Amino acid sequence: MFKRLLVAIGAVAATLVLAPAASAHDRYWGTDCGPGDYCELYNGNTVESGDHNNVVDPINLLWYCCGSWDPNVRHMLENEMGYDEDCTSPQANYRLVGDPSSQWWEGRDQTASRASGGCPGSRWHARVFLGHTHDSPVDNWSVSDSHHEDWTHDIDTTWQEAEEYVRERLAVVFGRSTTANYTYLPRAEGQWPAGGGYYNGWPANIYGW
Amino acid sequence: MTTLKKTASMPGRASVAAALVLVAVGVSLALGGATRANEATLPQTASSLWRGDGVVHARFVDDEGKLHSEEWLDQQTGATRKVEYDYAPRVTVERVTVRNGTTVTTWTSLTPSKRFVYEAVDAGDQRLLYTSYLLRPSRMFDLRTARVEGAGLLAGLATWKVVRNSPSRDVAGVYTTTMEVDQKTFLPLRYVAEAGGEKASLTVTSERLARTAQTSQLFTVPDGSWTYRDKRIRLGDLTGAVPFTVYGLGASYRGLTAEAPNLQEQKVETAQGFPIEPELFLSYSTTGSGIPQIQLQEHAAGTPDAQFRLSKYRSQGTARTAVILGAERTVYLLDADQPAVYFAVVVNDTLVKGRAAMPAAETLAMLASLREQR
Repeated sequence: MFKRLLVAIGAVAATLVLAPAASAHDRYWGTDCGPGDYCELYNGNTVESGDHNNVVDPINLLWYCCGSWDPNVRHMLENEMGYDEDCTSPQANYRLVGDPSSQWWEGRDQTASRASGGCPGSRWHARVFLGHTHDSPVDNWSVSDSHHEDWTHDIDTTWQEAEEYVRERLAVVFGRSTTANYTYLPRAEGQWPAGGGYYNGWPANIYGW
Repeated sequence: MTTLKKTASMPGRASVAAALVLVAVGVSLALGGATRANEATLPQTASSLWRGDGVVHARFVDDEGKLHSEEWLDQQTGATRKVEYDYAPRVTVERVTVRNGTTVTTWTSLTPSKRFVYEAVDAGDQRLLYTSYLLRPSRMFDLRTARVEGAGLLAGLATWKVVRNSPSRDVAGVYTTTMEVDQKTFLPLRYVAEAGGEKASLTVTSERLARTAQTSQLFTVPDGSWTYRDKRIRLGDLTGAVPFTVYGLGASYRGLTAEAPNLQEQKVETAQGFPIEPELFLSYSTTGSGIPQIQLQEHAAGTPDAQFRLSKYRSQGTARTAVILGAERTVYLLDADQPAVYFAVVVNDTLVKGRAAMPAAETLAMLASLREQR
């Protein structure tokens, strides 16, 4: 269904595959976003849906290019990662939303959620937050908070390992193009509760084509 | 369901009698409807109960009969090896976690040479709690983050039902997990999780192996280096351990207590083409909460990594000033109008970033209190 680029398995740990356009390396807040501009804006963390003062998770995955939830990211999570459950608690992410004619900054709830198991029990889980849409869906992007929950519903795996788990699997098993440490998100960096540990704020990118 | 099988000689009559009494007590407690644990019979230290001279091999099987994970426990040293099986399209991934003392090493079957290493300084470090499902109940009980809520009987064995003190939140409101443990060993026989009206369980079967040179290999890590390393350092031992000057607020600040600093190193590069530099995390929390109110994240300021990070604060943030260590410095704030703010400031040769659960004015006052930590 999708074209897949070959990736050298030995380079997975420090993949340096570049994004489509050199100017697109910087993924941070700017003011010149408009129709047709190549621009992605999002906070590096998620907040509680009902209380945006409560920070919950860091963003550790970017989906770009071709980062539309349906069909691209959905296909990767459901058919390649094996995440076919959608039980979740709602979270929000501040990001640029809208369409080619108009964009604005909003703390919007997740677009979707997929996990490797249901709510009781241990599982891998990732929420997906879709950004503003472009004229071409190839330019659409999403972000995620990949993590692992254990049998006491604690995060028991570091955010770095959870990032690498998705990136490794999609690269090694399915040959997708991925980039470690794609860009830096200030609000993603820090100490996170339970087993989440210390995250460096550099999420990986998964190329959705 | 099997009991732990000793490889030693058969138990004598006294042991059998004692076991029957124990089973009878368990049955009596269960049939009598008594759900409260008899606190007089609870151990002071649960971790002392599983000690021995062998190796426990446990299999955790889910409700569908699928092998969720396996663990091995060295009863003499407390070292553990956990292998979790992630069943997914095309390839089942094995995730291995080996804990030896206060060092934890993890890797996956997809990239076994990529190691994540965590080095704690205290046996009670929270990160160590997540290395073993076998030892979770006893560790949580000893840390007093879990309690015994009742007694029961499972496949003829007297059990304690262990629950965490503060249930976790979930989409349905409350997520509860009951860890049913063998009263004799405090090792789990079953995990039962409930959320949103649904229930799932793991059944644990165990066997006891002799401690040999072969089984000892289970707790060693194959030769190789780390790709990611997190190392706890005691406050006061920073000089020489961290490759740049660290700035902090001392052992305590306004009722908040400093946690053991964490130095993170990675042998990876960024998409921009430069390496991720060593980073020191230093947090201040309300004692025992584990929730940092002030987070400091520090790097050597002159590296491309630090400069790239600072550039994000510059372009996104609001510039303020604070006098830190006798000099007026520019502090970049994100979310400056919010109850909690993010900040970045260069103090001499160190980039100090982080988050404070306080408004901008208090955050700037906090930064003005920074001093060199050794």
